[in-house]
Amino acid sequence: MPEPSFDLLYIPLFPLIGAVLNLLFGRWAMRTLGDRLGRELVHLIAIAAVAFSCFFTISAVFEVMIGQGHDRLVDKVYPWIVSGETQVGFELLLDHLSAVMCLVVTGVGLLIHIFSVGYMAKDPDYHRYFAYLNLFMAAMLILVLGKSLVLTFVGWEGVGVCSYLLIGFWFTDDAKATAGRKAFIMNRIGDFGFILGMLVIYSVVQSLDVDAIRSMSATETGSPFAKAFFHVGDTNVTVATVATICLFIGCCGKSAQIPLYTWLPDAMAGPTPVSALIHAATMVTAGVYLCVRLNFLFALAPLTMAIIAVVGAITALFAATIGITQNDIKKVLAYSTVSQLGYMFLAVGMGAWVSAIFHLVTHAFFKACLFLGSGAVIEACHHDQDIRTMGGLKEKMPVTRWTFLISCLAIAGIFPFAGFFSKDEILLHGYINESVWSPGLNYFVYVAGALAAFCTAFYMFRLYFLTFEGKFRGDHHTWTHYVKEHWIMSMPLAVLAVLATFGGLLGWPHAFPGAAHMVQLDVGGGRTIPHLEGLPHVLEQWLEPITSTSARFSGEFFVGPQAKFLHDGHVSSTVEFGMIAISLSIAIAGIYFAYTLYKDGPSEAASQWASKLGAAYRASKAKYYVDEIYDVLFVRPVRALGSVLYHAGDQGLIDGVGVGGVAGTVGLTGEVVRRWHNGNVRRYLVILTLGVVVVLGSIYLNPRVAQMGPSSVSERFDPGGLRPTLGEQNVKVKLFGVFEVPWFSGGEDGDGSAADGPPGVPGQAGAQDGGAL
Amino acid sequence: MFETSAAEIIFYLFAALAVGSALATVTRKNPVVAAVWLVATFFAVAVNYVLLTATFLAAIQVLVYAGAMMVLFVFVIMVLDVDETGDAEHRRPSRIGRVGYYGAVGLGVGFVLWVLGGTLARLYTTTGADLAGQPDFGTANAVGRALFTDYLFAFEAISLLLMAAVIGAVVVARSRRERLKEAAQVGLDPEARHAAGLHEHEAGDLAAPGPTPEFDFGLPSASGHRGGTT
Amino acid sequence: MVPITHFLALSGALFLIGMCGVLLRRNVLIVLMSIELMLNGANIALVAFSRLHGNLDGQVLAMFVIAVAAAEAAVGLAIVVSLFRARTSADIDDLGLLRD
Repeated sequence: MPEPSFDLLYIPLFPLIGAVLNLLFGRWAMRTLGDRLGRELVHLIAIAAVAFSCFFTISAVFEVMIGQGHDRLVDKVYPWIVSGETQVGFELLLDHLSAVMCLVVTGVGLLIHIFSVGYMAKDPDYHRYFAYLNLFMAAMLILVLGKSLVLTFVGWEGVGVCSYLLIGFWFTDDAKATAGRKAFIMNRIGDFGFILGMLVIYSVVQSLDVDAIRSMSATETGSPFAKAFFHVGDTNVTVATVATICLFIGCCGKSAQIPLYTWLPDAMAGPTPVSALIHAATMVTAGVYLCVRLNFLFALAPLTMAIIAVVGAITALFAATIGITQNDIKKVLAYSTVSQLGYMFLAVGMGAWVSAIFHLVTHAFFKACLFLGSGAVIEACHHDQDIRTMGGLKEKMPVTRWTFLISCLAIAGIFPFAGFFSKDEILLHGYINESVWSPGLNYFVYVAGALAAFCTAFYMFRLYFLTFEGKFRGDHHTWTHYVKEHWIMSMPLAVLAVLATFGGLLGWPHAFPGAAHMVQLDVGGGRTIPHLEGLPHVLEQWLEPITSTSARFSGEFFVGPQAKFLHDGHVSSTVEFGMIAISLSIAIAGIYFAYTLYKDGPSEAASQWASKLGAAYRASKAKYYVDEIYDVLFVRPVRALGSVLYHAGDQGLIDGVGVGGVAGTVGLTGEVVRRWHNGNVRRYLVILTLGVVVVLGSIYLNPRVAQMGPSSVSERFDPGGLRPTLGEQNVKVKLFGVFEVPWFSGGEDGDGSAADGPPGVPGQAGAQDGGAL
Repeated sequence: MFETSAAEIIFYLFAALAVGSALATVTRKNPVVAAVWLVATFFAVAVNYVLLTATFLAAIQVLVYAGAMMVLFVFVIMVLDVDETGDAEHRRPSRIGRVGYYGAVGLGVGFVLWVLGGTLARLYTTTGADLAGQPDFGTANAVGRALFTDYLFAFEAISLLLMAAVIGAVVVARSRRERLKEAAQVGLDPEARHAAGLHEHEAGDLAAPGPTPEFDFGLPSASGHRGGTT
Repeated sequence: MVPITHFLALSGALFLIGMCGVLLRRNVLIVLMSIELMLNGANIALVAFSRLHGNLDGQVLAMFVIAVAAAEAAVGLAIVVSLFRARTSADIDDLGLLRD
């Protein structure tokens, strides 16, 4: 089926227009229309922009893609970069993968925009906030829809900028501005990897178009990615490995994986809806999206896959253990996000692309809900974020409490909430997928994932109990003057809670009763056709065109059972049920542990545990001193180098010798020349004479000029060869003919003729001249 | 064309005249006398032009140089009434300055002599191209055609230059009285007056005209050397 | 016929004399006249080469030199008049006083 052209450009265009409108006219509107009306206009524009793009996405996906049965929609907007052989088009691609992402981004984005109306209601920079938020939506959608990696990179950088702008939204607070800078710089480190990865890919494919990369990866005769090698020391590393490792570094930065994760907890300095949208639901999942988008390439690089799996598993566990001890409600959620992203990369590393996207989607629902719930709590508690001074809030904010509880159950992985399905699927794949690179990897990954699941259940319910159960531990004034729940903040929470509850149905496990299975449907006349019956794994079917390429050759390069599993097989129901039982019991154990320790606020038992764990507890509470280690290892050396370069290079060389030197030289010259320029005409004349002597003398003493002296001119004189000036109606105006000096031009001709020997000029003439000299 | 011998005689005669009158021009103290010698030089040069078949240029030389320009010179000399001792040294520069100056002059003169010597040392007897194919070489017809075809742009540029020179000469040579009158007409503010070289204390010139000489030479000079002769 | 070299010698002599006048005389009027002498010397060279090559370009250039000389003389003499008004002098060393 031919790819139909569809104006996908509108999807990112609407938020972009909204951003421009609010940036240009937002302040004006808020001033001239009055504060209330102005704010109404600002958020109406912003929400309408996102709503348009959301509805547009929905109609594109459900009407055109599903309704008319198109697998891919392509919008070739214009040829963007054309340079010789290199052609990068501004082309948007809506296929099954980007459709999922677009729906999540616009849907969750829309809800968060609505929530922001309540959360930011009193902020003086209301219009700026919504403009940035819209700008983020535009950049994120370009990232998702980009058909070429270059365009994806544009969106990648765009969301980075918006993240920076929104983390440092309250930039008058130095700590928040610093957090923004930290996020930006750490992202830049990752972006460097992304750029290198793109260059490596370009060196092979001569294009950065995703389709071109795919066709190059999936050639029947073996991919050039796997056949070309980089020589690292004595070993050869395939191009695919190098490219994917570089890209994964980029993903580490954007998706907050070890070692580049430290910016994400600090990014909580931004407004809470921003944390929900950018730093939980959408932007940080861009790395996962990129890996799945290029799954055919990653599948060619088993080493990279193993690295990704290990990094993901370690990150999931590492961040989860930090989350246990944090007391800032948003910090807990931030480490939880890092941990869940670790799960996604774990899935990517084990080749479970669908599970990664599945968890990405469900995580977007429940984590956005959790963040928005925490935003509502923070708002209610007058911007106090410390859970030690909360408690008992379930009386005051029932909607928030219930949605928060649902999301906690979801993230902990309790049946039948969304997280149960996605996390269980990841752990299942982690267990059964064997990497050819390192055979025991799947056990390590599974154990790490399971431990992280326990921690997740524990810290989420610790958070829940400390916030909503027990008695309020803050001051009396906050309790009595809490900010009531407003529908505009409760509504998105409710929607997200519903999604967090039922989102898991996207991926109904194969082992479950009612799961889809093929039956032979009798259509009469003895003919049967295969027919799918029951609850399908919707996402797996939907993403089949995306993962089919890698599934086709993954047996050759990567893992055995996984390819089979992904494609058509099932693991035995016993194994799957066993895995589910283990996951559930782990989650319930975590929740029960949290219940015993925190059901009525921090208990004696909790502090006993803390002192029992001793150093481990302190290390976790101090986030394993990673920031401090980075400070010593990287920040200080770089700062010292910067200081040296600033003083020696910038101030000394550029300002001192460069700028100052130029100014000083000019000044000194002026000081000297000023004394010459004294109005004494006779002195001018003498200097003029000396100048003429020097210039003409240097010409006259030049051997070449001396050679073309008068004698040679006369001997070579050839009237017939001269340009006839007269007797011809030559009306061409000779602009600078005056400047022709007969002597020199004649001499040049003579000089050239000595070598070339044109007719009429005897060759001996030059020889005689040479002899005469 | 001249006969060979006749042309040679004429050349050496007028070359000698040109050099001699040129020497006289730069050595005479009285500018008027110098100007007369200069006219003689111009005529001698014009004759040399004729010898070089540049007849039109010779005519121009006489008309423009010996005619128009010398009249201008003589007119200015007469009007200014410069005394004959115009060259008297009234400020002797330092010894080093004088040595440097004359050294530089000597260097320049030596250089020209050296180049001349180099040219003359390679004596050759070429007398020029065969002009059989160009019977009108050097005539007004030929030069005019060259001027208005190949060199039209330069020609127009020169005409512009001449106009600029005329305007410039008029502006530069205005008397202070004229400048003051103009300033009063256009109502220059003090700053602009200063910029135009009209200092405040001189503004009274216009207020109290009094008997003014043809040129205001009689103004006391600030440096106090040589008073006016009017 | 007279060799071209002789014309060039004449040209050089006039130029040299003019140069000495410019450099050594103090009277601005004489200096201006000396400049005319130098220009005439250059003109002779131009015309001589024009004749040597049978090419009119040299004569045309000489024409332009005469025109420029006329312009130069006009402005130069105006400056002399201006100088004489200010200082009652035609001394070249006093020209510097005109600058302010």
